[in-house]
Amino acid sequence: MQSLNCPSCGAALPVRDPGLPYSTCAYCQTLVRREAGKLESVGTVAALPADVSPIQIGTTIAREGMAATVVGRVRWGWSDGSWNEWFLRAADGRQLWLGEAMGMYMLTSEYSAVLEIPAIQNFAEGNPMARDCTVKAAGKWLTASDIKEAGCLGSEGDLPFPTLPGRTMTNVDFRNAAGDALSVQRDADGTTAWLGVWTDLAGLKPGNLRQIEGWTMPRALA
Amino acid sequence: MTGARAVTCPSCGGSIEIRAAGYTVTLGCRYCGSLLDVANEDVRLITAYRRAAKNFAIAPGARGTLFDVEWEVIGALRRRSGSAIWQEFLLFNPYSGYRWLVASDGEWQFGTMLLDRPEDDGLAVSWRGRSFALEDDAEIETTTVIGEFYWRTARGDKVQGATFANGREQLSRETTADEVTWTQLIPITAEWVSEAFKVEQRHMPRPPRPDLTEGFRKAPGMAEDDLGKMFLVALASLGLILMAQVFLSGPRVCSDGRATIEVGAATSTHRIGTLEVRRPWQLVTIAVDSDSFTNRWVDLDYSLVNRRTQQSIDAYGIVEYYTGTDSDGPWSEGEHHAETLIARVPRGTYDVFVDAGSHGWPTDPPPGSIDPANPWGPGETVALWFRSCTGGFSWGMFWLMAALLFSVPGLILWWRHRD
Amino acid sequence: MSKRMTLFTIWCALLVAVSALSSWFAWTPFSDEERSSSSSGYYRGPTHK
Repeated sequence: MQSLNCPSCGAALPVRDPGLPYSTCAYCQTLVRREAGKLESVGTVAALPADVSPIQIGTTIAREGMAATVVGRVRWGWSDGSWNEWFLRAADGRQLWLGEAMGMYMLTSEYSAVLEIPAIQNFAEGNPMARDCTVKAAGKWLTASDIKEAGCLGSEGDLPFPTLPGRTMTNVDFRNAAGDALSVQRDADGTTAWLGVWTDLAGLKPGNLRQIEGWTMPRALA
Repeated sequence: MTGARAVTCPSCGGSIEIRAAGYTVTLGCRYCGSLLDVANEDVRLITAYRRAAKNFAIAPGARGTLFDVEWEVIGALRRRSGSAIWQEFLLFNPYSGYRWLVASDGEWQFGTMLLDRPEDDGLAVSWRGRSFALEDDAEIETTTVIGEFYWRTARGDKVQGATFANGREQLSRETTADEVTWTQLIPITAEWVSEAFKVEQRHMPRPPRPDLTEGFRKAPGMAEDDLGKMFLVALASLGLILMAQVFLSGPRVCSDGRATIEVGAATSTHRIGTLEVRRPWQLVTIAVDSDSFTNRWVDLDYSLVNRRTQQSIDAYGIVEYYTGTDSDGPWSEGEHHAETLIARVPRGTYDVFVDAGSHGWPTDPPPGSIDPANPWGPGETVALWFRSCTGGFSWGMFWLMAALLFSVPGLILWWRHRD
Repeated sequence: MSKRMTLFTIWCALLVAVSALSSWFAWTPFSDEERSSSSSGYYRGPTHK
């Protein structure tokens, strides 16, 4: 793994995914932009609050023949709580998000086709999304079930966008009876759509999970 | 790296460890019961309470292994729907997520939130190819909150809860203004739970006491549980009515008499007794028994003649008995006994007379026919024995009162079960 | 006690009182003073079918 040094504190700054422009220094919380071999400090990220997520940077997953590794995390907060979004790079180069909520996981990959749907176009233009709005994605009907205004609470690892305090986004989760998931996120940089499934941790066939103090990792996951 | 996060209760100052840090949104302080908002870094007091509820079957913080996974009880709720009260325990394992343990009526269920949704088709739902029938749909109120939860909750929270069952497996649907959650509930033995956790038996929700009115109280759509009491009150009232009718109609004095009547002849008058009515008003009952004739009837016109005023009170009775054979076989109708009730007889002394006439069915016996056993006697006769008594019991009144008493709870019961 | 239960108890008490009074005054709507018109002077016999 290529290794750089933090321009702020000089600590080692491992490059987990050279394709991603932003990296958070684990020691001084400096957000570093890597561009054309140059390193530039763009600000300081808030320290991540403690949590008991079993995922960590370096955790691997395997689902439907696709392997991926966690390279970064951003934590979002909203009025009634907060959640983790883990960023993964798949072996085939695809980018994945793994959202954590209620002890369950939403694994999605980018699916831009739904951005053509008028209801989502309307949302992308800055208008509110109606609850119970139903859209079709990859042949599946999904209904908007959860709409949140969220603010960035912190980050770690390598990420595709800057995670400075004050960054906000609007997230709409669509789901259906079969357990499919569609997440549409709107922020200052535009709107992206991510399609995937809800699953429990075992369904991700995870590897290199975090060892949480006071808990024994189930043998099936270790 | 430790996952736990410690906060200080703003109400009582107690230090509380948050076990599911990063997920937990609401915390019920285990020292004072105050509800805290721990969604963000700053801990906010939602509602202050003075005392934490401790009487849960499993204490929050307990750890135990169920289905090969170690769980920590991180939260407990006491909930209520109608007259049913139960406890729900939120189980947590960072690698396996959340589960539920539900203790009600002395039984346990293990709950898993569903990621896929059952398909709703009215009174039943289908889930993973199996059908679950609607069992119950009622409002559920949360009455006690202790420990930590991954959603906003508080005492007094109300949700609409529906239960669908396939055998002993249930699907529970809880609907709030914001969302619908589905949970699969499977039965789990009390022994199994006791092996995993320390269960305080005295804090278990009690199994319902055996109660005859249970079926009425648990019927859907009825919040009130007073139907059983209503039937009891109606029954007690009917007992009082029975005693009033028996004891307030006395004193009972009787007088006997008899008469013999020729069948087919003109009516004849007989004096069959003397009665003294000693209260301002009394009922008078005249009972008659006859010998055992067949296919005859006897018309009885009674008169109570007041000795002082010579005024008469009239009443009517009939004794009839028929037999025959038809396509269904032999039949009989009537009896050799009759009772006549005379209401509102004023104080006084009365002579009791009867005008009696007897006839045959379908026709009178031919006139002048001779009874071979008594060739010199008159024609065929019917013998009648009378007993006239002051006082009496009006069965009509009794049943009318019974109908009026039981119609109210009866109608409620019918209304409940008409579906 | 619910309002419904109170009303019902009053109703029961009323019926008990009515019953006691009717017993005391020897009144009943079910006495046999009136010969029903259908049974007077007409052909009588079993109603058996």
